[in-house]
Amino acid sequence: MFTSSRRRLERHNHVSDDDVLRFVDGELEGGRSADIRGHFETCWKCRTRMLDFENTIVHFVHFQQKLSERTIPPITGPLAQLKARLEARVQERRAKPRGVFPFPVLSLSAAAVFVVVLAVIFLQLSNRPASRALRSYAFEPVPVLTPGQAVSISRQQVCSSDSTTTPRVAAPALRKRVFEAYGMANAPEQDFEVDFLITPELGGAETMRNLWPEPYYNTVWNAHVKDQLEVRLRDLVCSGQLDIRTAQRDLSDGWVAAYQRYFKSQAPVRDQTPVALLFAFFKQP
Amino acid sequence: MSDVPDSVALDQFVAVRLEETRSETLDHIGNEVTALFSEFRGRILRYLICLGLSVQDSEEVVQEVFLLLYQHLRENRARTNLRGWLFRVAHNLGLKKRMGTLRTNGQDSEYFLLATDAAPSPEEQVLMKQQQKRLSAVLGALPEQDRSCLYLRAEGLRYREIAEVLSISLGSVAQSLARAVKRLNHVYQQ
Repeated sequence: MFTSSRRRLERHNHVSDDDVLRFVDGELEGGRSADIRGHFETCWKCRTRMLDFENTIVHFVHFQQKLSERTIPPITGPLAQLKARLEARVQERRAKPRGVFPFPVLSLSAAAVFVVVLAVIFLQLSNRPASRALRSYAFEPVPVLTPGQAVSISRQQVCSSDSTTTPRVAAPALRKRVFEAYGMANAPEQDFEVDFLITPELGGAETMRNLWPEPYYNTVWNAHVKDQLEVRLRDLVCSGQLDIRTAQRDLSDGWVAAYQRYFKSQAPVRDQTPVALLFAFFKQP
Repeated sequence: MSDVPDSVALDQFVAVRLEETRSETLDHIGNEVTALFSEFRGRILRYLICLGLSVQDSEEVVQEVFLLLYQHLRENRARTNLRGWLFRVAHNLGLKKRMGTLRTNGQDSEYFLLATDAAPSPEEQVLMKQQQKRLSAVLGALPEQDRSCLYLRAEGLRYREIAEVLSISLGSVAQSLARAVKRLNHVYQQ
């Protein structure tokens, strides 16, 4: 018994190209698929078109396979590289303390006292001078080396981008070149983020002209503080209060001054809750 | 259409790959990521090359994709349709990389793959070059969306996965693919 759509197919002839391909790819629902199969049984033209499509797909896939056999390098090297980079991350994680409290059980009052004591220690330590090892390196981007560089990007792209899909980590070869350019080839790499002067979320390019080694710790204006500014600028762009070019220029002209302007504060704004202070304390090297 | 959920299908081949790639120095998620890398690296690399990136740039993007995957899984984020996630992240990073290359070099490296291949025998070389030339022309004339749909489908993605990767509707995927296949069909008909 013919369904109405099948009768329509027979009467008016021919399946659309979209549906032929959907049929070939198994992307049609059962009823529709059966209707079209029935039509192919009676219509040589559509059946030929379906076979043409299938042959085209076969040719294209063979062609791609031949090309990739000769173009794609073996996996051994890249797999070893990925393992090494993952191992570094695993070790980094293992080196960090696992929990906020080192003791399994603390009463609420003891925990409160503990928090207050550590907060005082933290506030004192936060004012300590930078260590000798890190003090010898530049903490601000050098304009000649890192003037900032951006690619064309729309507000829609900025506001629709998912932070997990944005490249936050520069390629290893590029990172190495940035360290060398800043005369820091032997610097402890784990203490620095090779950061984008103009953040990729706002169209910052992944080039030497937009990257510099920014310290995580031991300076007031560190990578974590800059992250706050980047989030603020993106929010302002997405809420229509700031255009993208101004946000890019604010970052490239001097992000510290921009921070002070946008946060209306001469010093980085800290989260002053006890838990945040405690957490920050444990993040100190 | 396959009734097997992506997560189940993924778990099956991850289990197989895990035996081949397991490392004592990695944690569980690290081993899972390397297993997924073994399974998907070739497909993602090929897609990125087809997007117009050089092999070297594509390798770098693939590394970034899997480092982001490690971060993604470590943070206990969604595991549904990881294949779609991998291609979506690769697509976005690939476009950014290509944009950067365009700015740096001032030229489009698209169709790098088609232009640099060398066939081993003279006959094959001639045949391949003729076909390359025709294909390059047709692929180059396709709208970017149609081309991306074609390459993603060639890597085994279902229509709904392609729609997610490119952030377009299911109907647009079907139309793009039909257009692309029809134009390629003309090449093979000649």
